[in-house]
Amino acid sequence: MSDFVTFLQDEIRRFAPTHIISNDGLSMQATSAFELPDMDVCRVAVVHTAEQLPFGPYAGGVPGHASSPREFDLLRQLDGIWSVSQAIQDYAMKYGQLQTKFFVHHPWTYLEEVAHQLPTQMHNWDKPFVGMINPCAVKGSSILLSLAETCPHLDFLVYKSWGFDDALAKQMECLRNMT
Amino acid sequence: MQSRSSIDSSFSLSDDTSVTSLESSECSSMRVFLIQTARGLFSSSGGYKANICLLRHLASRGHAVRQLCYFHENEVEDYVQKLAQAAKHDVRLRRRTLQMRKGNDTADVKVNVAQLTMEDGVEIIALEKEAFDAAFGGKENLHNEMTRETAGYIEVPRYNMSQPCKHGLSKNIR
Repeated sequence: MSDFVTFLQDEIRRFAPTHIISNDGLSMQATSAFELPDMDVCRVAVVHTAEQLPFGPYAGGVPGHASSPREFDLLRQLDGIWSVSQAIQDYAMKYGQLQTKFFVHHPWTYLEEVAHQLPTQMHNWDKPFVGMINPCAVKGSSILLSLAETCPHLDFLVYKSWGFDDALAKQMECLRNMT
Repeated sequence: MQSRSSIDSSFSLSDDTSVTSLESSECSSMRVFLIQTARGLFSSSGGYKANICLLRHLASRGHAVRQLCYFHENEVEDYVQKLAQAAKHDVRLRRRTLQMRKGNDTADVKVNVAQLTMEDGVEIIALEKEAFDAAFGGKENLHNEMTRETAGYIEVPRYNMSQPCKHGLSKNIR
């Protein structure tokens, strides 16, 4: 890890940013004023999920986040904390008395990538699969599994991402209508 | 969020080959460095997408933006080839290798690093995901090992990363 941290810090120094944006404890520590005391830079965290925060009922619910309770101190040292929803802003205040600011995502997040227009209508109601992207516990994989068991006449398709693990893969292998 | 610093003319320019004209842009421009955690240049992660869309918009407005991210095997080559075939964007790809020591003192892992500017103006420094994960014990152990090492890094307050100690980190002598 030390090699990665050194690499990251070197890259940041080379770029000479005015702003650093991160969303995990490792990055917050590596870019902190303690680690990079010579840098006059605005440090900002974006909180995409409540599980990112090191307190409250959802702490530690996403792998790779909330590794240590001391991340709380790192958050408090930042210049800004961006909550992506009112719910996360309320959660941070309720469980951590942590002040954050709610900003909506940039509109391009919801538009197609080239012309930034509304996404093309897929007209895919006739397609055979019921799909789920990134099935995992926090996104309701239990609902998907139950649905697949209850509806053997339907075919299900999942797209694996960060939350998918071997335990879930085994559960899905038992279902003949799951791809 | 507020910009704490305005850029003065004395900041050091990168000596790498991917420096764009944005690096010498007007003083009012921001220079934003973003650290992604999702894996893949085109990750389906909502957080990744929201982050990169912010960078794309800032780039379109003349700000210099760079992100650290991860690529899957062949992802960079496929992207560069696709752009070359479409003659859409002259990509200057710079490759490096990052030598990463494992925490348990076993053999080092060589992580390929690609640096380029995407067609949307977002500069990327991308680490090869599979090799990076291997430095933390591979896919099966990645989350546990990264969590353990991150906690150690955060909780022991005085490290100097340039002087490795037994567990791969080191005491800070600043």
